[in-house]
Amino acid sequence: MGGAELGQIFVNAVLLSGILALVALGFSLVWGIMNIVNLAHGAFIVLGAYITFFLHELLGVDPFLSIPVAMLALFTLGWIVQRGLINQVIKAPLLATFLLTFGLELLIVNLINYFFKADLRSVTTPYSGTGFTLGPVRIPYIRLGALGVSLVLVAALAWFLKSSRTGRAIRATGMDIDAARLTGVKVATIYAATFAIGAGMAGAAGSLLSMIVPFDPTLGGAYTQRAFAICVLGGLGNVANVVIGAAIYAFVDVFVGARLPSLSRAVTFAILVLLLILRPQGIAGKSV
Amino acid sequence: MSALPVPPPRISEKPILVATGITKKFGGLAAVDRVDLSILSGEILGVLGPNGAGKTTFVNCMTGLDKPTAGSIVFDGQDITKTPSYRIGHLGMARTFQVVKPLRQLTVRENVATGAMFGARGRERSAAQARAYADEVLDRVHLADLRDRAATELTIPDLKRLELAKALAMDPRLLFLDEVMAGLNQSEIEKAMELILSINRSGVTIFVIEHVMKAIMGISDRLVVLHYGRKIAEGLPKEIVESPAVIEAYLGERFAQRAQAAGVEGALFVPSGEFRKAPPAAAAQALLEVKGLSSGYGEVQILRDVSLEVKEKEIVALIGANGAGKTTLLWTISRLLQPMAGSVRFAGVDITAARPDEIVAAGVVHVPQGRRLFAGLTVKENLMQGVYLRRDTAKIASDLERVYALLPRLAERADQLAGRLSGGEQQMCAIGRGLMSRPRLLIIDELSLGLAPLVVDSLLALITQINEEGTTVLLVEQDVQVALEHAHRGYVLETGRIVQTGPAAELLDDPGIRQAYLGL
Amino acid sequence: MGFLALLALLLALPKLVSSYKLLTYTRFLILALMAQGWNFIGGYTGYAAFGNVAYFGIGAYTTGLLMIGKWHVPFFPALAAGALLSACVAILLGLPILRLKGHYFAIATLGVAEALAQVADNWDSLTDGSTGIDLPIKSEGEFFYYTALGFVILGLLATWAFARSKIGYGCVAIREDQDAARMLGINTTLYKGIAYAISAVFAAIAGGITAYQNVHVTPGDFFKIDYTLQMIIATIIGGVGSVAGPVLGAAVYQLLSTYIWGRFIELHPTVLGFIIIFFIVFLPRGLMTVIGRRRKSGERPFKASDLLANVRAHRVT
Repeated sequence: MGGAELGQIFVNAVLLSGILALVALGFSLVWGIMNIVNLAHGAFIVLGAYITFFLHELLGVDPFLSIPVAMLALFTLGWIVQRGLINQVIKAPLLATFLLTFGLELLIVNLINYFFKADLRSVTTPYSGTGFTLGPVRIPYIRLGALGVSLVLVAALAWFLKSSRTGRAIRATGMDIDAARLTGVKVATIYAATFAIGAGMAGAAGSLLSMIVPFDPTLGGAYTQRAFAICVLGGLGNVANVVIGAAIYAFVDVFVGARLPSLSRAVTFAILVLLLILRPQGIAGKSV
Repeated sequence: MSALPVPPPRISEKPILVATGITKKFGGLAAVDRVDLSILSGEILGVLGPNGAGKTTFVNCMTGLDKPTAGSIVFDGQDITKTPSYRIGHLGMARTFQVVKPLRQLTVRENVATGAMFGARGRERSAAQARAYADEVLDRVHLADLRDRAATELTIPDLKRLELAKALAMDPRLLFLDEVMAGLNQSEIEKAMELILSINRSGVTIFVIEHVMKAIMGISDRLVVLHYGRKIAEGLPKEIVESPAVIEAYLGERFAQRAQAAGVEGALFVPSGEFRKAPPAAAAQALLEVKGLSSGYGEVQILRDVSLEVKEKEIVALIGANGAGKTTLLWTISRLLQPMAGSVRFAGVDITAARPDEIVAAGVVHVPQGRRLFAGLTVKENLMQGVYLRRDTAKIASDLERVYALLPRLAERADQLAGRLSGGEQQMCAIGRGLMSRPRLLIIDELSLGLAPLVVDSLLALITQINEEGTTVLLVEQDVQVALEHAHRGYVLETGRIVQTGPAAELLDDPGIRQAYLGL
Repeated sequence: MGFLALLALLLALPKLVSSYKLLTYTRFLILALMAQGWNFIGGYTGYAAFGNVAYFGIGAYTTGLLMIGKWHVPFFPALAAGALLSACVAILLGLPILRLKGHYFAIATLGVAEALAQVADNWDSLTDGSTGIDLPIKSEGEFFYYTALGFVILGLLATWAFARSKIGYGCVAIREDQDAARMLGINTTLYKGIAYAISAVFAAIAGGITAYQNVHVTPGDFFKIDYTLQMIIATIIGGVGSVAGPVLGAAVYQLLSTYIWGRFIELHPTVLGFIIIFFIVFLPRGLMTVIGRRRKSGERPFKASDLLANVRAHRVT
């Protein structure tokens, strides 16, 4: 592997890690605060991608401008799903929420499949495929833009959780639900907000992915698994952990992908299972 | 180890278990600290110590559930320090859990049969024989009538007996009992004592942790006292109960000092005049009225028909032994628990059916037992979480200044994570968080638990000051002296019922309180 | 009596229905078999295993590969070999992953199934990759029906015996409280491993029968996560940790699925999603508990409010 190839792999990994951080952020938030592994996260991402695709296709909206629309739509859907379904079984054993979100994933993915068919789609703009070179390394504009948007959103969520009244209540509820109640927090509302924010972030990630990779309704499952892997790598708890986990994952993924393309997922999962057994609190995390 | 003067023949001088230098650290904290202990074959060894003394952790170490950080354990001549926990049972040891761990979805009989299948003599029995043996054990512990009930349907006393039955079915030679009597009433306690004695007389060595003093005094051959993870006393029951260390551990350091100063041997209550408060003007209106409240967890009832009143500008103390139901009462008032019957009124409004956030909004603010700070938030963030429901943004900054002025330590540590504070600082932060909610009624659960006397003094001064500035206070305390010295009135809770009430000064002199606490 | 009548009906069924319908009944029995297996680890032992399709796939491939190529092993020995191999894999994988708890265990099993699917897809010299392998053709539908029925009845007996055995008690104790189980003298690692291996054997038998019936085995068809979901949801519908629950649940699932599939053929996976959501929200403890409750409390008829009571118990306000 030459220097130029290594450089390109490195840059690709950096570009990928931003969007993976965005993919995993909402998933990590919902898991950390509500103790729910949301297997429908990938379906939310796919919905975001389709919203961007159709806004671009039918109305000619620039994909970057459709990101807020996708976020808002998914935020609303997330709120409804949490209040209507997940909140009903949130105290039930793990199996119930796990299956429920899996059922939701099946429902959403197959409804999309039914209405929009399984065709592989992608959003193509005049600036798609353009980019600039930095020595031997090529950097596409869209990927750079996606990295920028991801970083802005990750930073915005970090600020929101750190400094806003609701953000603080979300963190407090995740740490001690009864103590939060004693300060006047209505847990059902905070849970709905948490889940809705997670879904909104997934929507944004879907918008960005629609510009970068061709997608069909089944794209989401792989991203749910990636989000999980990133949370395991980085550990739950805060935004920084997600970013670290995403960066590690991106580098492993890009390097394994360059060497063993057909087995990349098997290798990634093997690493993940090993890590789960050896260090269940994550590489960056302190404890679960 | 102090020898028994005339050991009964059932006790042999040869120890069945010898623990040497047992230390168990969690993080940096030693929950058990270099404890040496021998259990003599055939005896009942009682273990005393306040909450957090490390009693349960010690049993966890003995039974392999926690691996000791240092030290060694020899059972019946065999080193078991590194033996996996499931094999401990095969060797002839069994235990009960303080927080009962029934196999919930199984019937009582199936629960006990499980013990009979996998215990010391489990290999000799088939599954069917184990079920038959379970019936024998259930007869012994008087649970036979309930054998086909699911464990989820049992009450606390029955669950405690089931816990014992499961352990007994394992045919142990050494049995660890961890607070099998907490939450039982007087007659249930007497039955439990008889049962433990009969088990012991059938040849089982027993190690018993118990808060109910009357019980442990009545059955133990020897006593050991743990405090902050250390063994501070060991000897005959009579010696132990009169030792200052025990009085201190159970009734609080302040009380012990006073008892010593008065020089009355064995006297636990010394009248003192200096702190007594006159009740505020009789005209004061009731702020909190609890009427006929019953409550509990799931099917298990803890509180029975509790009525209590806190008047405007009062400090009311609620005292009672461990497991009497004090925290359950507070949780029901704050609606973290649903009442089974009865009503709660606050400032004339019925709040029985309100949500927890509505109760906070009405001005009832609860500083829970164990502080319950948000460990991953900073001190300042914890305080600011207290203003969550407030809309008067303008006044929040000045309230924060006021809390910092009252509790300067919090200002110094504003940006530290709450999880890193010392116990006293955590309690300050919890009270500060409560004050930030601008309470009309401040409820504090176990103010002094685990804190040094100096810290307790300063917190009590703070409570008095807050009260004089107009906040009504309901103070729940295990430390009788602390509570009654600083309150206007008091209530005594015993096994889920209010058994006594009156001006704090009168209660302080009442020998009945002493009985409720020490069972003497 | 009722049971014997049902048994007679099931035995006579191939004479009564068309061979196309018999396929549906066979599918129900295969699902029942998988659900019975999942019930050991997920129901009795309380471990949310989400990768049992891996053993379904291993069973299918082992059976298939032994029946073709140079060995030409007869069906039943090949099936037994698949079951044995699955049990071995389950024990080897189970040792590390059964130490994980909760979500981590669930995802690890999911990951193992994914990884095995990819291995099957890429091990061209053995599995012929995504093209798959072809088994000898056996066209009598009755053979598959009776084979599956036989195993389901065996499964019922095995579950019944398990629930009364020491192993069963040990597993249930693990489900209820792992610390308590250890203190009762239960070797938790051993019992979890046994339950997991049994569940793998059932899945492998189901996989082997399906492989022989379908003739063609591909990674895409035999490592599909849908199988895992179906066996779990069938168990939940019927009642987790009960002897007959998985079979009852599989019947209800197959009925719903076939009936709705018949109307909206394109929406089939959506139907699975919908069934899952409905049963999780309204009946998380299964049909058996509702039926059981009704029996216990005498003549009280079943009411819709019973469903809602289930929901309310798990809600947060």
